[in-house]
Amino acid sequence: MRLLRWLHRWTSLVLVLQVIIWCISGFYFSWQGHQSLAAHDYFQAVSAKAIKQPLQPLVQQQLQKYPQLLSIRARVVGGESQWVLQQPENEIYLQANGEPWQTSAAQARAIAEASYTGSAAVAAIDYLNTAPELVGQQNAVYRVQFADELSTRAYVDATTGDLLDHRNSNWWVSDWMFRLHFMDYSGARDFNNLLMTAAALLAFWFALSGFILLLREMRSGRMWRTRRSRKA
Amino acid sequence: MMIRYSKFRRWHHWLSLVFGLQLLIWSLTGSYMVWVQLPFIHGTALTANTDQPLGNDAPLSALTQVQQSYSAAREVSLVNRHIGNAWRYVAQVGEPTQSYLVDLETLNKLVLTEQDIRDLADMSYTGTGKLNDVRLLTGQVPNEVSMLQAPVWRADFADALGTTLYLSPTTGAVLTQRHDYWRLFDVMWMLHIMDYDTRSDITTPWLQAFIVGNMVLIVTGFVLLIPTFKKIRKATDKRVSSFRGGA
Repeated sequence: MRLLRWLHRWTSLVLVLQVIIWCISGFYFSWQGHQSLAAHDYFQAVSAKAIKQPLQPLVQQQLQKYPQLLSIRARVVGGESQWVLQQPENEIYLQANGEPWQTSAAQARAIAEASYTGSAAVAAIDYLNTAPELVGQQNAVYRVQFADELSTRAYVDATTGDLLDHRNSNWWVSDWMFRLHFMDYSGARDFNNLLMTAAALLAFWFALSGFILLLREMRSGRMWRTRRSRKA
Repeated sequence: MMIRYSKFRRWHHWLSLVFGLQLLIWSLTGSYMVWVQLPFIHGTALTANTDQPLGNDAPLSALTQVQQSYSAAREVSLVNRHIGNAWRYVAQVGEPTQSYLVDLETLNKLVLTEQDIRDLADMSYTGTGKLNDVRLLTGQVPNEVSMLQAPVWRADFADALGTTLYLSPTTGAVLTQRHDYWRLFDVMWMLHIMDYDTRSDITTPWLQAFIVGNMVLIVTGFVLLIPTFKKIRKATDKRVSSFRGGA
């Protein structure tokens, strides 16, 4: 038991800072809630419009480059018909006439506005080759900024015309809370990383040793003695 | 200022009695969630695409007719799907609240049979277990797929993971997959966020109270480290001073 208490103390010395970080970040998550953590204060899913214009079918010749096609899908993006070619490993986006799709700034703006429930106007639209605020985003994006109190920005994929996500001025806080809670400081949200798994196990041992010490304390009866009864 | 460590010790013991068990639960459930790989939990490798490549004979112009017949369509796709024990070109139509398949000849909606669903479930499944049971759920969907709408087909496989696939009755597509490690993960998540009812609300005052309680518990524990290390320093000081000849 002396050994167990000794271990409990030394583990706590190693772990105390991280346990406090888990508590603070966990409290922040609970205080903010899912919506705010995701910067979805003014977010709604963009619902696609019905296809109005008659589809101009693709011809076999246009598809020869893609012999493994699994499906061809027509939809409307930013007011224009788009073809989505599903290949085993990726998707190809084409205009109605079969030429490669490229989202325009005006379309990006319309898509961003459709996803935005606030009342502020668009303040700026930027074309960016990378989007550091979006985890795992590979393609170029449009960043559509709104002039609201949270500096909300909507990201639209330049290659596909899909709305990717919203970010705002509080985002960096929740981002860092996630990094600290998952111990993945790269921002990639990988909570299966070695540091995290090792710390989790150590934390379990730490809590368990404390629990055993508490049981022992209760069984010995020391816990129930008042100061007066100890003096007597 | 003198710190009464005995007081802190009592607080530490009593706080651990009230809040400490949750710290044990957090560390146990957290450990499970970080030790089991997330892609495995999602079970993405349990299913594979079942559609055949479209090939050179795909009736590309048929989509235009389908789109004109179904004016609410937001999406129209051409796929080569296994229906009626054969590969067939069909259109999959997506509307705001439903998706369905359309026959390219008659332009009518296609109705999938139980055998179609069986075949598609079996072909999608990449594991080794046998398809046990296929049922159409018409009332309430199970809690593990609360985001889905009934009616939905449930296909259970006899494997070590207890795999279940959920398929759309109108398109035959696999909507999601569940297995026992996912179900255990869900229980762990429930215990971690202390929402035993919906397993999704992270904002309960109940959870926040336990976080604050545990923070106080940690702080009292931290204060109790001071006498421990004072003792160690004293012992070291003694050793150092005797080495210097008692100066």
